[in-house]
Amino acid sequence: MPVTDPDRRTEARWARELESMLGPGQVLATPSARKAYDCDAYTIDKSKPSVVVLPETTEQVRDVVRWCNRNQVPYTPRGAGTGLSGGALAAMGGVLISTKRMTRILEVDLPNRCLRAQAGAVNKRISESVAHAGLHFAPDPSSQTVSTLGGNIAENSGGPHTLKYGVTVQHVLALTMVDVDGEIVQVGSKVPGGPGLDLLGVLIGSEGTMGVVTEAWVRLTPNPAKVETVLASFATVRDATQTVADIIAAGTIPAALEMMDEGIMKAVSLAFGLVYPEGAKALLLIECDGDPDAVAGEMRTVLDICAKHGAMDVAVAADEAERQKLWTARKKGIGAMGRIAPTIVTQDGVIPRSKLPEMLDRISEVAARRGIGIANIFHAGDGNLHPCMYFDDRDPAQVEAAVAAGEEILEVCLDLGGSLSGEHGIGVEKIGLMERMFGREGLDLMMDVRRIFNDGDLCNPCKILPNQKGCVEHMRRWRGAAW
Amino acid sequence: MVNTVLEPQTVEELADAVREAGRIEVLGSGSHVAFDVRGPQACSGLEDWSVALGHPTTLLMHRLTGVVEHHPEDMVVVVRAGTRLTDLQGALAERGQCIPWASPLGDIGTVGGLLALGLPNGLEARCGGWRDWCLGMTIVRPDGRVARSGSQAVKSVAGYDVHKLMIGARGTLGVIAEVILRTLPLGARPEPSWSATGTLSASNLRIQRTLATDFAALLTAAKGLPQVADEATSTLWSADVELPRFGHDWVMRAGCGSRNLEPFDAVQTGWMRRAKKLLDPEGKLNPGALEAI
Ligand SMILES: Cc1cc2nc3c(=O)[nH]c(=O)nc-3n(C[C@H](O)[C@H](O)[C@H](O)COP(=O)(O)OP(=O)(O)OC[C@H]3O[C@@H](n4cnc5c(N)ncnc54)[C@H](O)[C@@H]3O)c2cc1C
Repeated sequence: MPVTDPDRRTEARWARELESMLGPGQVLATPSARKAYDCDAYTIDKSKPSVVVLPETTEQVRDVVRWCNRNQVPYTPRGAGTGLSGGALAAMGGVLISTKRMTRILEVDLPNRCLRAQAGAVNKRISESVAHAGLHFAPDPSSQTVSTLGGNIAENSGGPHTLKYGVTVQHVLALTMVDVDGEIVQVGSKVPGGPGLDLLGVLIGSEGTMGVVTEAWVRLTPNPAKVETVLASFATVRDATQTVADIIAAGTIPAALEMMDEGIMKAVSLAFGLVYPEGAKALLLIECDGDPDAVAGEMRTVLDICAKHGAMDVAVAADEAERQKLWTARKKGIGAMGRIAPTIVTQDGVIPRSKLPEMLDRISEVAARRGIGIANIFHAGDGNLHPCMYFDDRDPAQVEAAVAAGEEILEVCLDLGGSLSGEHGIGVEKIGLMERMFGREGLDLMMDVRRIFNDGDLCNPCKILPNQKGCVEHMRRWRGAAW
Repeated sequence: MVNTVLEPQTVEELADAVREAGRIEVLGSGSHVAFDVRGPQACSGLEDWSVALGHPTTLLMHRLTGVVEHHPEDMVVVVRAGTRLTDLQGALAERGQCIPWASPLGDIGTVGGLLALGLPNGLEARCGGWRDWCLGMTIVRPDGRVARSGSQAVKSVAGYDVHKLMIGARGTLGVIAEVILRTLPLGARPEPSWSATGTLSASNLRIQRTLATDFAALLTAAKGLPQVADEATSTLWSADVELPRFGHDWVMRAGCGSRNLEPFDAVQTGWMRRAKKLLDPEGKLNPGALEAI
């Protein structure tokens, strides 16, 4: 059994041993450091690690994992801690392995359009490092100025441009990871699609439960020659969702197709003084990119469809400055919500696109019944919702209402044939709904697949799969620790 | 030993059949047998595993067919694994959609068989491949349990993408019963941009993919051979002769089955063997097709 309840002296010994192994300043064990690392961006559940380590190389990660194995101490990988489902929560305490100091770009292969970086490299920095060559790393989570490659890989992150370019799994060629036995292994290849099992396809999106990724080869995508951005407002949510459906059905795949409802529009108006037409109930942000001729054709289709559904106001960006302005509501929408409510929690369900109108009705019904506010901002093109619940977390009743509303919304997603998560992962947050989505047999199969890579209980325990040994009792301590 | 043939028509019948059976060889339409371990001349020194292990039960998937659900507005289709790709394409075309697949060998094979082999296709650079289109699966496990993976949502990060592991697994980890695929409007389907010379034969085929920077050298070496060359993914389908190898490249030769994995690195093949042990502990499914590594 893992050592999950060490006393202070044991923890102090762990810190000393790890520091002598790694180096001065690479171990944090003060009460304030442990508190700073007691959750990620999902702040409802909290659990302090005993020690935080800051390795700089793959070999140091290996040494830490081996140390954890020898001492039966649980460990949890962590990138920038922007995860929204508690994936980087040290659920059983132990060692938190932070990739904060593993930020180097190691090798750039321009002719083959790929690059090798350490897991702690920040998403945006990867693109910046090859901007001179007209290339970028396509996954663009809204957190990209801080979130790390390792976190993106673990969560299989997407972003506004996922609709056309795919999520992280489409852009990672190979990984170096320290497996749960403390061995350094490579998975995948610079030349994708070879014979045998798609191990990479399973490791990407496994939320750090199958080992610690230390480096990766990623694909680089040419920057589009032309980008056109449209912001259209609509009198009803239904007009906007029907516009989305028609654009997709026409075979046009915009680079981004994002929707914001009235709640977001109000918040953005308050925060940034942006003005939208009187009576507008929904905004669509549509971006087409690529070859200039193709973009021109796509834009004609998009504008026709917007007009057909009675778009009230259609703004097309004339230059990059205007483009950034049109993106404001999308990029800063959640932040703007944060200004009008003390607490916001963003949910992340997915539904088949055609169910969007019905889903939005159900969400407002849940909000009204639970007595909390919900605004909607989402990747409409792929049916990925981000209902943004706003409330005051100083009031335990409101926290409970928000948690219950979130679960109810996810259950509706499942009823409509969708998924519990499009981007944020399961972590500890949605673990209770996994059986509802996959059934006992589905979870058994996932457990067997986890065992291929991780047959123990030390590597990021208590995540994704319910009913893991020891987790249920432990959960009582961190569940709702913020309440 | 008598060779039994099973031909289930429903997922339940499939589950019962798999539960009751001993060793099973799973066959779609049989069109890709050329890629199995018992193909013709290509890999010398191969044992015929069906002799070594005793004739297994043959599980024919050709009756487990048909589109279960098609939601054109969501661009998602659920199809039974024994459905021939041509039939699926036909059904989708009626609603103006398709699966953007182009193989130098044509639209041969069943959906399940194609996924199980996971071969590359000529539209991959623009439209992706099976791992990008497959959103979920119903999988019959060797003990007859029926497990679901994925969903009909076009984007999902809930749980492990177990269905991705089945793609390219040659039916060794579970029997693919139903598949959820994304579709594409027919109008958006590009033409393959490959260049073709001569006629390829499925039984004497070699597929090689290299880094972009090595592809010109491969083409020079392959000059004169019947071939299909896709520069966008640096993939060459050609008649099976000895051709140069390059760093990071891979080769799949018809008739070599999992022997294709031999030059692969030991760590990754180790994981694959482990996957087989955990998911099919009794070695029931397609015996020989993965153990040969
Ligand atoms: C404002 C905001 C906007 C966001 N927008 C998006 C968005 O648009 N799309 C989206 O997909 N997500 C989004 N997210 C969620 C989050 O940013 C992503 O999941 C991101 O990829 C997490 O990266 P991170 O470095 O912060 O990882 P962390 O939060 O530190 O960790 C996330 C998970 O990855 C694991 N992990 C981290 N590093 C490693 C490693 N080296 N090896 C193995 N496992 C590891 C952790 O154990 C944990 O399970 C957003 C979050 C915020 C706060």
